[in-house]
Amino acid sequence: MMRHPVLLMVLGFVVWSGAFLGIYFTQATACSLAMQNQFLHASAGALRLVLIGIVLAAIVAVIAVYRFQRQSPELSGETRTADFLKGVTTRVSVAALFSTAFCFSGVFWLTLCAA
Amino acid sequence: MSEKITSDHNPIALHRALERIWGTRPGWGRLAAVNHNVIGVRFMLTALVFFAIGGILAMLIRTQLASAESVFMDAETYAQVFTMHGSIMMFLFAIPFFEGMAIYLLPKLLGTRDLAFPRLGAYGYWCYLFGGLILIGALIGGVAPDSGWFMYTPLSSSVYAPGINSDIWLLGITFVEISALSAAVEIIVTIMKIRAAGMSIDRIPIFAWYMLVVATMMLVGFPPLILGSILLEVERAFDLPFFDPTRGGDPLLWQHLFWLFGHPEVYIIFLPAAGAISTILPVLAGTPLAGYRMIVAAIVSMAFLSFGLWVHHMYTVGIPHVALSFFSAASALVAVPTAIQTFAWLATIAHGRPRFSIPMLHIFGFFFVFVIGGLTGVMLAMVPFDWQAHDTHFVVAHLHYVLVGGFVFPMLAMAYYWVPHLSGKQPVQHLSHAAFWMVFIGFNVTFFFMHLTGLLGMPRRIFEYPAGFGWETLNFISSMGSFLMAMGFALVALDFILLFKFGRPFRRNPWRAGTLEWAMPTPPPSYNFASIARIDNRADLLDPDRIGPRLAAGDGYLGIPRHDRMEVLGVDPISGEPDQVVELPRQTYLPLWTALATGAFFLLMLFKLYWLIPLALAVVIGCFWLWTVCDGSPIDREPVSIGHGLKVPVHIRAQIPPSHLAMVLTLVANATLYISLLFGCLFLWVSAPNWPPKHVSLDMPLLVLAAVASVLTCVGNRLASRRTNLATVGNALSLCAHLLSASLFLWVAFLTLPAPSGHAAIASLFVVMIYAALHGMIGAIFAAHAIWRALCGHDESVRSLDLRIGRLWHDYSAAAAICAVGFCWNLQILIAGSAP
Repeated sequence: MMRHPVLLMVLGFVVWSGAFLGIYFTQATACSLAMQNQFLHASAGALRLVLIGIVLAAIVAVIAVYRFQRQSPELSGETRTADFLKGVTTRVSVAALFSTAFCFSGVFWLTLCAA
Repeated sequence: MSEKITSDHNPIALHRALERIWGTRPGWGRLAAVNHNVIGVRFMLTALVFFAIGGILAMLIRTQLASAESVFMDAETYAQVFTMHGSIMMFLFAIPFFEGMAIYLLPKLLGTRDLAFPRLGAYGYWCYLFGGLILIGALIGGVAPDSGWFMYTPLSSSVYAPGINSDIWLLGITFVEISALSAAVEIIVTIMKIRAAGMSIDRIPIFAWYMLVVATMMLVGFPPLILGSILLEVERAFDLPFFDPTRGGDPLLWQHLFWLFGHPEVYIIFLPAAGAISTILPVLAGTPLAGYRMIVAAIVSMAFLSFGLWVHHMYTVGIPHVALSFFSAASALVAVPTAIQTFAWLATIAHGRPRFSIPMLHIFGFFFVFVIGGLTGVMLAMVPFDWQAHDTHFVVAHLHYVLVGGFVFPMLAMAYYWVPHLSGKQPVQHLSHAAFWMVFIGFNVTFFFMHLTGLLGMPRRIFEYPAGFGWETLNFISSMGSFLMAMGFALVALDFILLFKFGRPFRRNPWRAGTLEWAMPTPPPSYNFASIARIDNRADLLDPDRIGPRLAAGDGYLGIPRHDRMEVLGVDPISGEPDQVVELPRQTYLPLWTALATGAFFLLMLFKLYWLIPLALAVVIGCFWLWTVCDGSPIDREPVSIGHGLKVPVHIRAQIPPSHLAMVLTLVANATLYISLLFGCLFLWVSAPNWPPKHVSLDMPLLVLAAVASVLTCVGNRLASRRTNLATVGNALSLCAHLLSASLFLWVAFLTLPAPSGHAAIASLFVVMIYAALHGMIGAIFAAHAIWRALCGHDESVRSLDLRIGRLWHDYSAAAAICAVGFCWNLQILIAGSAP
């Protein structure tokens, strides 16, 4: 298990990055396959559900990461350094949570494959 | 082992002894310099020379565009001039300048004597210089790159750019990027490991936080560009069609790879400047920086967000709405951490009693210009607006507001702030105000009106425009403004020449700063500090006037030179407590020779003398091998005293020495390149026309065997590490397994695949296999080196650093080989599945 405090600090945004890649890759691949096989309309609903699922999973994952960080012994000490790391980590994780919710909200209502 | 003391506690004798050890030799010996003071200044001065060249090219551009239907330059010359202007400013000025600044300043701010890898810094500088000279030589010879600084395909492909021009960009810039990557590794390792005692992670100076984030961004941001350059050069040289849509390639792949680098690049340029402002501003305001933790959190967030918005340069290429929304949202979001920093700076000014000195004037110039650039950036982040303004002069104005506001004004602020440190002199003349106002007014006249030119519809990248569109007056005003700005920069240069010539000396710490770079004599001695401090507060809230004399008297750690060694403290990254003594290599010509050999490799590529390339590669490898021969001593030493009753091991016996961390970071950059390659190939499958190819069949059993062989290399390495008596056998197993794995990959790539020039799918498979084979060959060199060490009698059971570094490479190579086989297998299935 990765325990370096500086790496722990960025874990929320690592989830955001993974979600970004996953959502973009899923959307692009599904649209490409749907267009190739002429079943764009039939598959649009399913694709939207999958993308929404990934977004929700990413939000849950960032929250889980935040809870994990709070309980991590590296960040829960009483020292000045631990306090600093905890403060920065909390801020970065909150930013990651907001970014995850904000960046991918388009999957709920925007057209999925039309340019 | 007894330690030979080369100095008594006489401070003068101590300084003389340290200067003899750390100082750069005169005459030709200067070419062997590895000291960070020398390398940092060289980087900055060279970057300024390139800045002047880029500025002259900008004047030529503005002269051409000053009037309609101008005949000052023809289209071909203009294309070369505007391509070189952008390339020079981005790759040869902005990035190397802050690299130089970081190389010069970081060890001082961190309270240490040098960077973690002085030879790497010197090698990076020579690569930068030679790469830059290749580009400038091409400009003088009339064969400069002419496809724009972004080198979009197919304009830069061999069909439309058959000459050597694009090759010069691709190879020259890649050569220069070696220096950026080496600087990134060096900066991260230094910040994490080489600091003053007691400088825990919450006490490091804010500039170090900025540079830590920037260097990490460089580590991940530059590999996609290097990959794109390699793929495009491979297409131009060997006809592998990655970007040719008629054979399954896609020009958009280049845009993705380029902007995956290109947008974070903006922040890579901005953040060091912002770090300098966060350092200077509190000093000039006379109060601590407001929101230190919030700023650290903001720049970490900004680093991630900046990698999620590259497509905002590609809104008009036909990407689905929902995908555009991801990038548009990220583009808007990234303004938040930027705003947090801006408000923290304003709060700092509001809390303090600001001194309106010249650096502060430039900081205010930065605020004005950068905020405007940021706001137009938010406008361009919105898809509907971008569709209207895309590829117009509005974008040119925006990017100059961001880059000049975000980098040049802070650069001038830091120059006026730190040149007294570098020169030991303060200004006596009064040109500085006039120079600032000329630059500031000239800049705004040039580029503010360019927004309007763009909104009136003038496209960028055109060498002439017709009369009657309403663009003439605005363009003329812009050109006049640019000449005023150029005169302002000339005045700045004159100002600094006068400062160096006639400036008045000063005693320590003229700005009354709280950072450690002022706790040393100015100009700084080669070793920075006669002894290393233990600090008990945040590194920008110290008292250099009190600390400096004590360190100069040898009162800190490592205050006694030992065996003429260049020693610095290695610390735990989090607590800052000393955990090792790092012995740095002495002055050497090896970085120069290695860079010359590397340059020969690139030149041979450029002139298509491919049969000589293996020889050049062998020389490069030989030079790097000589680096390791010169390292350390073959005998073990017990922990050594660092003063104040403390003893720590030397780095080669420490748990996490700097070179181990450096290898991890190098592999991170390498993995980024590999992941970009795999995703790039999959991107072609998803989006490129003319897929799938007719038929692809792979020799999977041979590929699986190659992957198994690569796993055996890890087994051999572990055997060598755990059983001293089996070290040679284990390493020999690694060597043979690497050679077998590489041979099998090469066999399949060259002898069983159809011609890779036939289709991008086959080219993708070919390149992935070559990547795996190349790692096998490098792994074989690591294994051979370990065998050589064992045969020379090095005790690998105690000093296992080389083996541990080798293990990292072996493990990575095995993972890369398994991924390569998995990728090939998957692509084969995907191709078969999508066949008509």
